[in-house]
Amino acid sequence: MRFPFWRRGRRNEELGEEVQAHLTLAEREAMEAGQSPKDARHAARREFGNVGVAEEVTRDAWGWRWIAEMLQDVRYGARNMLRTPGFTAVTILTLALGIGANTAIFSVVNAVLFRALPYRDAGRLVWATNFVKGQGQNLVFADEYAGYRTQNHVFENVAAYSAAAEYTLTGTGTPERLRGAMVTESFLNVLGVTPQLGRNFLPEEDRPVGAKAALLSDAVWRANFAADSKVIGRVIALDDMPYTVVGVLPRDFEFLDNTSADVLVPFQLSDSSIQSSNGQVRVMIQPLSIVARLRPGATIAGTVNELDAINKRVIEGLPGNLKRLLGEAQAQVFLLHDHEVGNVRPALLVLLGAVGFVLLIACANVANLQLARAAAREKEVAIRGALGAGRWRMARLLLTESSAVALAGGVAGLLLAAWAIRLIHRFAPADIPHLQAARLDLRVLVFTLAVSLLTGILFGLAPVIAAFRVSLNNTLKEGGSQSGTGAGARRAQRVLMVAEIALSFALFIGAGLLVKSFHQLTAIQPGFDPHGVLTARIALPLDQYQTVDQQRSFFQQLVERLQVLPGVASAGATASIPLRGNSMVSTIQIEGQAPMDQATMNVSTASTNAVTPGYFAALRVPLIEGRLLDERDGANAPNAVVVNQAFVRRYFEKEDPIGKRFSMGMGPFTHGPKTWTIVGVIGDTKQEGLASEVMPEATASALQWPRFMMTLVLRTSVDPVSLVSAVRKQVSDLDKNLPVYGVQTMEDVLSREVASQRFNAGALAGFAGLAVLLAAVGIYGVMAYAVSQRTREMGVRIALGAETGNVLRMILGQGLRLAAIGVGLGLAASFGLTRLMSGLLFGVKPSDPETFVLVTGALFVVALAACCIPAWRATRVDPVIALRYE
Amino acid sequence: MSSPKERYQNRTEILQGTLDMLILQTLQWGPRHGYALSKAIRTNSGEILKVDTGSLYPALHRLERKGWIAAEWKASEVGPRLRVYRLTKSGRKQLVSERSRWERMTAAIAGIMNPEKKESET
Repeated sequence: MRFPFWRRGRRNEELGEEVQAHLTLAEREAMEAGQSPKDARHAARREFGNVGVAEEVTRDAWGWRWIAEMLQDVRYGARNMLRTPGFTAVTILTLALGIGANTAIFSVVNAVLFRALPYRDAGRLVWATNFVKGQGQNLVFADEYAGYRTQNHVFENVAAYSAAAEYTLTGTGTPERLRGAMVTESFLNVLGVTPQLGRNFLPEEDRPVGAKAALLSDAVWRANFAADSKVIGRVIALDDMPYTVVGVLPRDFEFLDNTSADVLVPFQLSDSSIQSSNGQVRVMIQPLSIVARLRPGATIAGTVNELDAINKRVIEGLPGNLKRLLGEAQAQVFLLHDHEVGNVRPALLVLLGAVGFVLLIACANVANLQLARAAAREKEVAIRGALGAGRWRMARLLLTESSAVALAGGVAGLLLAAWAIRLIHRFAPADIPHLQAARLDLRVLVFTLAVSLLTGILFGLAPVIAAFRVSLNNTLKEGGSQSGTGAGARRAQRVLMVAEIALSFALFIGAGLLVKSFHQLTAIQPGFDPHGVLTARIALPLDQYQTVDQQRSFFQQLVERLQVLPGVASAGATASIPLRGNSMVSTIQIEGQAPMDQATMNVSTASTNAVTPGYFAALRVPLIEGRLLDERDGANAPNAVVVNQAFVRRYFEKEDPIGKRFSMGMGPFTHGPKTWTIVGVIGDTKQEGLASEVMPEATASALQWPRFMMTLVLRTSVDPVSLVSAVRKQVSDLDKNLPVYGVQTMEDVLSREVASQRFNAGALAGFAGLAVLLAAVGIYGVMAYAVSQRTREMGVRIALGAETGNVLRMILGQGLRLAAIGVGLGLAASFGLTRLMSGLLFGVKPSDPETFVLVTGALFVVALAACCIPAWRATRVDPVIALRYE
Repeated sequence: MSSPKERYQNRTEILQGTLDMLILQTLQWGPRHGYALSKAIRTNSGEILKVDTGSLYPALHRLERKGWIAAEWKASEVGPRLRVYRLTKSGRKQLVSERSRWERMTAAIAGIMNPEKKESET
């Protein structure tokens, strides 16, 4: 019967006992036959043969041999590692850096790219939008959604949702600003999410003027309602409107578009954007997003066709001006997973590739170390061979050793990765979706284990191959400690060194390109001065501020109060703040220019803004021509606008724009076209983001075109953040229930704008730095070893009169030749590889000559520096000692 | 470079089947310890078959793992306790099948060897 492995020790003793008994019996018999006790013992032994071999072969019959041998090898390897602690520490540290970096990045890639979205059968979920050519942007509106809901044949279920907006929760202590999204009643069903408590919205709650219901996130439920299950049915106030809590979302619920949602409320969409109230026709365009579950068998292409057909029917039925504005909508449908992670995939794959390179370099380094040690172990290998160890047994010993080292490196790497993941959570840009799920889960652990073992085999192979080459006779005959590695191992070391240089070169190039992109991006002038500016948002509740006069006078009073605050240099309010991309686009008709061409849909458009006069000074937007808007442009004065330079470039190529008039109609809350006169030209400010082109923009005075949602902008002479409470006080003095939210400095806005570029550049630069450091250590190791092997030759050369310069040149020349080969290979590889990351670059070509030249130079300097110490050591060889060395 | 172990293994490959059968056959007459077993095989073969102890114990442990024989420690009058092996039920079955295989083989070998002998006699 097979006995358990752990009883081997006991069983071993029994085997010894059994053999002893055999010998005793044989001895006794020989004595009975008349032999002397001594002779009898010898005869019994002779008869039995080699006791050790017999026992070992018997142990083989137990079937545990491979495990026993592996344990033996591991023990031996551990002893070997402990005997050379410095060597072992360097090896494990090198591997830990490589494996740790890989584990950390893989955990991110795993969470973001590989993990299925946390929704039921997520592969069938799609995200849809319409690209509206006339508007230059994506827009789906309620009429189209109503069409999809009733006319489509491709969706099992379809839902609409709004981008998460902010709500003020009152009645649970201090007013709190929550992120909330409006969703249709079908939203959770499409995603396959069931509330952990309570229920989903009812259809009647999702109709216009239906009962107001709310679903809370798990986090809000715990933080604001103490995880009380009696919260269901409770009435809470969001923006001073009563909502009944009907359910609590599951703990692992993730909202779409990489935003979090603390609360969901029913969308209550009407089926049409056109509403008439009090005899006035109003067009309410609420941009919305579509998420849907495909029927089994439905394709993306089929869905696009279907939605296009529905769009066409819907738009046909719209009044003329809307038809023009929304015409030529092209449906775009993406798998939800692609929509969520598509824009970060290239960056993450580049990072994954980069850490792969780092690991390869770490492997090459460790292989080099192992080769150097293999030379020292040649005698051991030869003796083992002579004593009868088989080649494969030797290979297994060496591979077990390297795997044990790699596993130790893997464990250390995991610790590094755990720390790195914390760093990533802290510093990664907010626009990486679902990043919060990045952690050391089972899949990541399996990955690390696999990578560690693979690494162990990869770098362990070098000494194995070297061991196979060991010639027993020569090695044992050579005797001295100077036996030296074979030519094969030396060649292998050089090949590894060249590979390391090539890999780190490619990484260095990638990092260089990203860093340069980052600099290009940050060098862009946003068109205003972001330093020392505080911004804060205010949304007036429309039920209390129903008329434009109320809205106008509120912001007028507030700005007046803010302007006199100590520490405030100038204050203003604006409907749209630069870099946030939330300006509205309107069609315009310039007097004296050809009316828009209905046939080609060639409409003139401009983004529109409304600001209080203090805005220009607060952001230091320069005046180019004419005058800025000021107190003269009051509610009853002629309509005045300032336009930006892009506006002038597009519409007044050869004319003076000052005094020209145009009509600007399509704001969501305006009624019919109004005529505006251009009074000034201001500098271009980046509205949509640093990297985007500036659109023609027309800025009116908020006194003439009041808004209910505005952003306060304060230029301060003190630290902007120190004014936050003063601003809140002024607001609550005017209206104590009005929350101030979205408080941030303009510098923060700007830095968020470049966050993903900074993260990519920083991460890749870090990996490249690590790679170059490892490569430098590798070069140093190879060269130092080569010099130590040639000590005698150096002694002879120096004894024969070689100058210090000659020796130095010889060693450096050898190192630089290898570096040149590595750089050459790296150059060739980089031209191919950098093309893969062209999507991540900004203002830099993948083959940017400046980067290539700089990196080439830098890598040669590193190689030279790494060769310097060994070369210097070679010049210091004392010929007398060197020649006596043998 | 071939190790002593490899050389040994080459030899058992020839002997293995036969040795297993001899052990099973010998144990059919009653439980025995290793030394007694080797002595019995030697005596019963007229001192021709000498069982190499380096093969005997691996074979015993292998047969035990396969469940054909079972072992038990027994105290002995001579001093050390002895590991005594006995045939199990499945061992008995195995012995029957090995015996018939062996008989087929010896018949086959005899068929090849004998005609030659006849030719040389005529």
